[in-house]
Formats: sequence, C-alpha cells, structure tokens
Amino acid sequence: MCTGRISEEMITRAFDKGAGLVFVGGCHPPGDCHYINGNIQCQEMLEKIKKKVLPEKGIDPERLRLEWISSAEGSVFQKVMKEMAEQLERVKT
Amino acid sequence: MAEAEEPEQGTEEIRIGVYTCHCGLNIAQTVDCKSVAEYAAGLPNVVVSRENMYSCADPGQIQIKDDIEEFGLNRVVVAACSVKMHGPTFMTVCEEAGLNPYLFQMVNIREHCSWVHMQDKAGATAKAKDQIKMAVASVALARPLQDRVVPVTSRALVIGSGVAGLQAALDISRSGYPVSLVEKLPHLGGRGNQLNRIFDRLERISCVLTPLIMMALNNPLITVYTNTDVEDISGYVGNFKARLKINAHPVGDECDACGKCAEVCPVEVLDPFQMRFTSCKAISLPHDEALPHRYTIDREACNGCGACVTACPRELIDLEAPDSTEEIDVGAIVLAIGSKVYVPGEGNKWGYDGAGDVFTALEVERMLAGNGPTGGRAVRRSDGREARSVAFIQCVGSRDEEHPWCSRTCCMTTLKEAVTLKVRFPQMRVSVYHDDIRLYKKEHEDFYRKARDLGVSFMRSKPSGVTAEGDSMVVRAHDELLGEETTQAVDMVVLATGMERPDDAQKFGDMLKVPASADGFFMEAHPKLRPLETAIDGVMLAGSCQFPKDIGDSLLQASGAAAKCLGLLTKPRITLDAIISRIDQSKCNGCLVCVKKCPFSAVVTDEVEVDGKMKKRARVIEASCKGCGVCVARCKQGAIEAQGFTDEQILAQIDAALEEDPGGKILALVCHW
Amino acid sequence: MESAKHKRIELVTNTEVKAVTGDAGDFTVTLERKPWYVDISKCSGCGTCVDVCPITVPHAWEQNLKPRKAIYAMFPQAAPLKYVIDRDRCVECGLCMQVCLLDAIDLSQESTTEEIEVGAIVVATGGRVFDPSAMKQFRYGELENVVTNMEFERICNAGGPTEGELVRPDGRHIRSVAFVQCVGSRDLGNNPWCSFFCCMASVKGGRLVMEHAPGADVTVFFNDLRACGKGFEELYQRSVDEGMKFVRAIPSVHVNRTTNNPIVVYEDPQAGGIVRNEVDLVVLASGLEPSAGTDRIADVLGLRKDSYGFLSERHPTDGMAETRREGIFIAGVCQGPKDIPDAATHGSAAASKVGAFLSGGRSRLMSEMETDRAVGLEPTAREAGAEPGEVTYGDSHG
Repeated sequence: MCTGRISEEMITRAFDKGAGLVFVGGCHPPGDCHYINGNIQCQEMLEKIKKKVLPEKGIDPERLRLEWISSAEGSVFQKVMKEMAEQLERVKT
Repeated sequence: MAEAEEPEQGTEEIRIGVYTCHCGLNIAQTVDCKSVAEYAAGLPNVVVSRENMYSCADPGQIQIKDDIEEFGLNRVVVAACSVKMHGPTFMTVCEEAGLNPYLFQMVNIREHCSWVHMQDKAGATAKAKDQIKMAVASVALARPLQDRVVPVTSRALVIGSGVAGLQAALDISRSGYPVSLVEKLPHLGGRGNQLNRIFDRLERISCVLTPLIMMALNNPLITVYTNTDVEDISGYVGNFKARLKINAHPVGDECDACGKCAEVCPVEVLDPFQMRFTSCKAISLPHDEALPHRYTIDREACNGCGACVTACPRELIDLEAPDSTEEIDVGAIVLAIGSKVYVPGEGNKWGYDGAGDVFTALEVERMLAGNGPTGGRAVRRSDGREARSVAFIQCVGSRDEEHPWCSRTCCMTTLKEAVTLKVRFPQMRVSVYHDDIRLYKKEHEDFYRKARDLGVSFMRSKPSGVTAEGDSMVVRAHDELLGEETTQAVDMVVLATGMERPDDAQKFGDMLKVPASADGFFMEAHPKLRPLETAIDGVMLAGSCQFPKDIGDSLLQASGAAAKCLGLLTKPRITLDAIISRIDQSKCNGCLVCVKKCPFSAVVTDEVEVDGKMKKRARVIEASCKGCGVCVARCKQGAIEAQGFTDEQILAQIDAALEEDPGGKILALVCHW
Repeated sequence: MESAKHKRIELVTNTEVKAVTGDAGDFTVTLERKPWYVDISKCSGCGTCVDVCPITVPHAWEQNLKPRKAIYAMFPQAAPLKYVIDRDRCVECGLCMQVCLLDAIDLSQESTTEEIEVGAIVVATGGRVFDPSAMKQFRYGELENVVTNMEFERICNAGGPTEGELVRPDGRHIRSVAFVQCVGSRDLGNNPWCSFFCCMASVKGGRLVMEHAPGADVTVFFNDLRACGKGFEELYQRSVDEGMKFVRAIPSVHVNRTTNNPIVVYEDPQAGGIVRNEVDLVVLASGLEPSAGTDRIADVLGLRKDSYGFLSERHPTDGMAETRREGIFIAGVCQGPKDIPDAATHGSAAASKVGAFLSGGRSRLMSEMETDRAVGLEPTAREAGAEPGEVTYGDSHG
C-alpha cells in the first residue's frame, strides 16, 4: 500500500476526531516510489486538501504535513518529527 | 493454503488473540509489556492476551497455534518487530493452525516504539497500547483473503539483439527455456557490429559477437525475428502477450549473398554501417560478417526499378513481399534495446559537422576496423591525407547541462583508440583532453599506464572550441594544471561522444509502464540490490538501455537478467499476495478515473449491460494489480476496495488512535511498502 | 534475510571448504563445520547470554571500535541470528548456560567434517580493505583521528559503535572531515589497480557528514573522481553544489597536538603553494584487495589468479562469471573490485551460468534434478500452447 492510497476521508476523519497534527510520509519523487507515481498522486490530493478542504472546515492547513523520507534517512525523519512535536506544543496552547 | 472460512460479515463472533513480544530486552526494557498485555486483554473482542520472551521462537509460535485451537481464535495480533522481518513467520503460523493468514495483523512496537522512545518508558508504553488498540480495531474488520495463483508461460521475449539481447536469449535457452528474440533491423548484433576492437585485450569484436549470433541463430530454442517491430505488449507477469509486426524481407531466406543484385542496382546511398564514409547500393549487405547473411533493401532509397529482381539467379527477391503480424505469449521480458550515441548538433563548439576532420568515437571505430572504409588508416575527410596528429576530447555529450550523467565507457574507448593508433602509427602525436579519467575494472589502470608508456599525452583541460585553420584543426583549451590557455593544431580531432537513451525508450516505457530515471534510461527496481529488474514484475533490463555500459558489462547484465527470467520461467505458476484492489461494478458509475490513474495499467474498462444499455465499467486485472490503492483513494463512488487495507479498517485505526487525547497526538499516514 | 528464508537455500555458516574432489557436475566438497558451542537449532537469538557474559574483547566487525562479549552475534541483523562462543576468549564460567532458557549452550561441540555433493560451485569470497599502516605519510594507526573508510562506515552506521552519532574515536563530534582517495590504489608501490567503489563511498560519506552536521566542512582529496555509474555523476555534482570541496592533490597528514586534530598538508598551485588544513577527522579511502579466503579457495579449487591475486575469469569480456575450470563460477570482488550493483549483477550472471551448466545434464546428480524440472515444465508448456516436444534442453556450453 502506497501513500497514493490515502484518501480525503482519512485526513478529514483525523481532524474531525481532533488530531493535533497529521503527517504523511512517502518515498522521494520521482523515482523512489515502489508504485511508480503513487507518491505524486498523493501529493496532488494533499495539495487540494490543504488548499480547499481544510480551510473550508476552518482547520489550519499547516497542521497537515507531507514529507518525502527514504528508509536511509533516519536523521531526516527524526528532524521532521522533532519539528512537528514542537509545532504540536504551539498548536495545543 | 488453508481453506478460508467465509462467514457472513457481521454474524461471526470475533475472537482475537494478542501477543506482546519482549524481544529479549529490545522491547521490554522500554515498554512495560506486562501492562500492555493486560491492557490488550480488555480491548473489544480480545479473548486472550499474552506476553512472550520471543514470539518468533518455537515456544511463541506453538503458543499461538495452541490458542487458536483452544480459544477458537479467528484473529491474531502480534506486537513485536517489523512486519518485513517476521510478518511472514506469523502468517505461516496462522495458516498452519488453519487460520487464514490475512486474519493476522502485526504491530511494530520495536522500531516504531521501544527503539525510538528509549528515554520515555511511560510514553512508550502508552504508545504501544495505542498501537495495539489500532491493530485490534482493524483486524476485527479483516476478511479472509486468497493469494492469487497465476500460471507462467514458459517462454521469454528478448527485445533487441545487441550483445546484451543475444546473451540474455542464449542464457535463457541454455537452461532449457524457449526464447523469442526480436530485432528491428534486418541483421543481428546491434551497434557492436560497428566496433573495431574491444578493450582491454584489443580483440576483434567479431571474436565475441559472431559466435553469439551464430549460437542464437542455430539454437532450436531461440526463435529469431529480424526486421520486426514490437507493436504492443499487454498482460502481466508470467502472462504477457506481444504483437509483433514482421516487416517484409524482400530478399528470401535462401540468399547466398552472391551480390549480383547490388551490381545492377542503380541507386547509391551513403553507407550507414560505414558511418557514411563510403557509399553502397540500395540493396546491400552491410558488411561481410553480417548475420543472417543475406542482402537487404533500403526501402526508403529503393526506386523500385526491379533490376535486382531479374538479376537474382535464385529468384529470391520480391519487392511486393507483404508485412505480417504475429502474436506471441511470453512469461518474462528482457528489454535490451541499447542506447543512442550522442552526435553533436548544428553549431556545436567542437566544429563537428559530419564532413570535416572532427570525428566521433564511433566513426573512428569504423576507420580503425579492418573492414572499415579506410582499411584501418586514420584518414582525413577533408583532403584524404593520413593524420599525423590526433587529439581526443572527452566528455562530449556527457557531464554537461543537457547530459548530466557520465557515460562511463568513453574514457576506456578513447584509451583503446589512442593505443590502437599509437601501436599502428608510432610516430603519430596523440593527445587526450580530459577531466577525470574514469576507469572501473581491475585491468583498466594497467591499460591507462600502457597508453602513457606508448607516449599518448594526457592533458587535464577542457577545450573551449575547435576550429579549422589552414589545413589543421586547432583545439583551444584551458589547462587546469598550468592555469593558462593553450592551443594545439592537429590533423584530426576525435570526440569521445557519450550515450543517450535510445529513441525507442519512450515507446517501450509507455507500453510496459517501465519507468525511466531522470537521465532517461530505464529505471531498475532498486539501484543497488535489484539492478536487473524493473518496477514491473516480469520485465528485466539488460545492456545500455539501463545505463551506458561496455560490452563486458552488457554481457554480464544480460546473463543476470536471464537468471531473473529463469527464476520465473522455471515455475509453472507463481503466487502473488492478496493485497489488491477489487471493484464492485454495481457501484461503479463509469467515470474511469481509476483507469486513468492506475500506475500499472491494471484497471481496464469493461462494457457491461446496465438496464438494457451498454455502459463502461472498470475492472481490475488481478494479476497486474500491485495493491498501491491509488484507485481506491480516487474513487468517489466507494466502488473499489483495497483488500487488506479497506477504508473501514484504516478509519477504524484512525478512530482508535485518536480516542484519547487526540489533540496531543500526531497521526502519521505512511507508505506501507 | 531472503536467502536465509529461501526454501531451496541451505545456509552453511561458520564452515570452511577443506577440499573439493570430482569433476564439473559431480563435485564432492569436504566441509569443516566449526563448532558454535551453541546449539543453533535451539538458539532463538535472544541475546540474554550476552548480557551475563563477563568477557569483553574488541569486535573486529566494528573495526575494533566497539567491544563484544565472548559469546556474540556478528551484528543485530546477522543471518542466521544465532550466537557463537569465541572459545579462545571464553573462560567457561557457565553464566550463559545458567541464563539460556532454551538450553542451547553446548561447550562440548567439536568441529565436524561433512561431505556434500554439488554440480557446480560459485566462489564469492569477496575482498578485504587495504591496510594503510605502512603508508607513513597518512599516520594511520598512529593518530587516533585518522580512520579507514571501513571504520568510517561503522561510525556512520546506526547500528555501529556510536549508534550513528557522528563522533570520532576520541569522542568529539565531527564538524570537518578530509577524505583521502586512492590510498593503496593506483599505486605501483602498493596496489596498482583502481578499486572503483571508493570515490562514490567518499562522496556518500561526505554527504552523510553534511546531513548530520549542517555546515560541516568536507573535503575530498582525489586524483580522478570516478563517478561513472548510474546517478553517480549527478550525486557528485549535487555534492559540489551543496558545498563539498574536491581538491586534486595527494595530502600528507600531520597533527595538532593540542586539539588532537589531524592536519592535512597538500600542494595547491591555485592557492600558491602548500596548504595546511586542520580537520576533525581524516578518512583514508582504502582500496580493495584479494582476501585471504579468496587465496585459500583458489588453492583448494585449483583456480588461477591474475597478477594482482584476484581470481582469473575465463575471459574479461564474455566470461566474467566463469573460470577456466568447468563447473566453477565466480561472483563479486573475488574477481576484482566492484561496487554493490556491479557485484549483485555479477552474482546473478553467475547464477544464470550455473543454471545453464546444471541443465546440461552432464552429471548423475543433475540428471536427477532434470527429471524433477521436466515434470514441472510440461504443464506450463502446454498452457503456453507449445507442443510438449518443443521444450528440450539447449546447448550447454556453446
């Protein structure tokens, strides 16, 4: 299963349930996607959600973050998670 | 595989067993496994919850089997290490205990939890509980699935008959499997035919190529198609269907190459085999060793006069011979369509125009060849004089803005041509303008030393331009070592031209859905570990269509690709997992977004009768589906289900994850490859 | 992992090939299975024994940068993940026996000899990294913060001695690194050949440093930067753009005794002479050379070696995976230096040659296997619409 599997409903459900932040992680475009272009299709979908769906629901699009991180980039993942944890602290207050 | 029980959804009582693994101390020293197991016991539908020192060891496995029996478990959750590591282990355990393996779910509380939260035991324990809660919620909704079993057609298709294609075909056939070898030109062997000698032993190319071609032609398991285009390929791993367009050979198979036809042919064309140095007739044999050994007609040049038809003593020429089409079934495909040699375009700074005294490396190969246009002498195009000085320029069409890659082979090609010239004409002044000299095999460095010992001079400088001045070619360059501009007048300039992706790459890429890398060459499944396969199961790569390669590396990669094909062909059928999409055509409204968006062309359109009218409805070709789920996410009708990862399952996981303190959590949705 | 789980692959580790008799298609191989002192059919790889073992010794796998116990597994992802006792170091205290829940410890194990019959042999004994101790100008072994590329790999590895923390042997964080290429390679005094993998290994290593420590100062001292594989040149250029420095020079190494920092000294004509550059760490890009195992197996199998000591292929162009001895094939660095994709390709090519050879039906063993396969083949041929008679065995050695 690819990030391309992620549907609008999953993102909206998460925010409806009150999730602090939502992170989507996939493989680097263009070449790293095991499913050819599922990552890019995911990106298209998320851009739409950030631009339209979330603002319409009154949700700050910054609470949804997409990053391409390969399995060899542990330090990148760590960095992103640390940043998001800090962001979460700010969002909560 | 065990028979899957098929209870009515919703009527079955869900009975889940949860197993929390300590993994020695790997998990247990951070996560309080006892409290996690107690927590899991209280989750909905959980009838048994245990901890194990090692769930994967025999005692752990036996426990699960016993519990399935004793407690009538119909779902199993193991919270341990990664699903890649031990998912298959526990799926087998379930299967052996008579439980459908897709009713099992694995939770990674090691890499995803204990290892990354070593400093926060309470937090790690709480997270492990949430992870298990999510899996329990999801597995309750899981349904038994059946692996796909598809038959394998035990024949391979090899596209391209250069050294790589020939070697792949031979190696497959040598293990006893039939091969269809398709070549778009009338003769076999590809670009190798035009080379002179190969490094590093300077053997004649024909010592390698001719035996390969002869063996392929004489092998009863190899069906050779020359002059043939692959028009279409459909299907999927083990079951491809290829449509071949066999362009008519106007000269019959029994041609004995007597040459009478060419004697009478009135049309002269510049000989493409000899890099247009000389001309030949519209009906010709490219060279004496061309195989199959028969004349062919350049259909574009032929004026249809028919002189050859009457001249042929064996009456073998039929200018009206019709093209034909053939469909073949194959189980595996080797793409070996080669590459294209870069030719500098109009107005290039090296002064190459195909007519003057600037040559490409391939032109020099012809010139140096015994069967070449100059009988092995370095002759200037401008005045026919033999060159007394030659300058090679490296990285032409490589390592520049348009071609950011290094073509790998050109340094050795230059060394080879420079050494050949120096050996043949010891008085010749031979120099090489280069950046890095890039060699990559154990014997190359010795060859480089040999070139220097023979007196080839190497200059680390980038030429800014080449101009014809008087009867010389003048190379202007910036010498990196001296830090100054230099000029040198030589009789002849040779450009070490790089390789580009071949013209057919786009066509085959689209046809087979094989992705290309940023450099345009076909992309391998994994750059380090799976260099021979592609993202498309059953399609392998050989030779320079994957990246520029020398003859030896092409042969090696071809043998490797053959092994990958044999891995498929030796099996009568293959099993593919059940994680695929399924379309409920009664819910499909025929918008066909899924058909458009599927990265693997695995969704096709059916014409289905709905209320007396024919309507378009989407259908998944199960064997082609890779289970990415792109179609599921795009379907507005909810008509597509991702087996094993249904919307209900994923939403249940989201709900479970966010049941407590949602605002303090980051929910991650990540690729599950 | 995959080969450890494959049903048709039997992993025989901790074992040495002692002798090979017979001919192509019908070899008898004498194996010496060395004792593990652990019953590997019982060992679950839990590692509880390691925690109680009182003996600590340097771990060669970690380039001696990290200790191991007398009972150990090579590394956490080792396949098979079974523990082994180093009897030279073991004091037979018996603590491991007490804690092992599976009763797997067996100090009475002895070497056993076993004969197996095979049709073909693939030699893939690899190579080893050149030891630069003798090249005094680099002061390897003398200065703590001068390491080889293999040691550097372990320092960068998340499972390595520093758990991926970029610290040098004396414990300080690494902010600047100098990579020195062609150490022992392209050097008539040492190894005349080019080891090929080291250029890109240094580029990769340099990128890792820059990722870990943004703004880190990375310099690669090189002769020719051999970025000639797929995507290599692009990665090299990207690294240049991102600030990695490439200097065409051969440096020597000095030291600042106060900071313990190595100083690379080199000639830079553009900078107008000798340059001294103090760095946190010097990484010597040591080349590959034939391993002792390759040497030994060449003797056992009677294989020819080239003038460098690598195994000779049948032909450098069209016989790279074969040897001159029929039925014996070669793959990987034992034939010559290679990077991972080239070695993987070489391995697959050898597999294909073995397949063809075994299908040739030359030997007793193989004719049995052939029967097996023919059975599997027939229905497929029919499904493909081919005449059953069409499927015959091809020429085995054209």
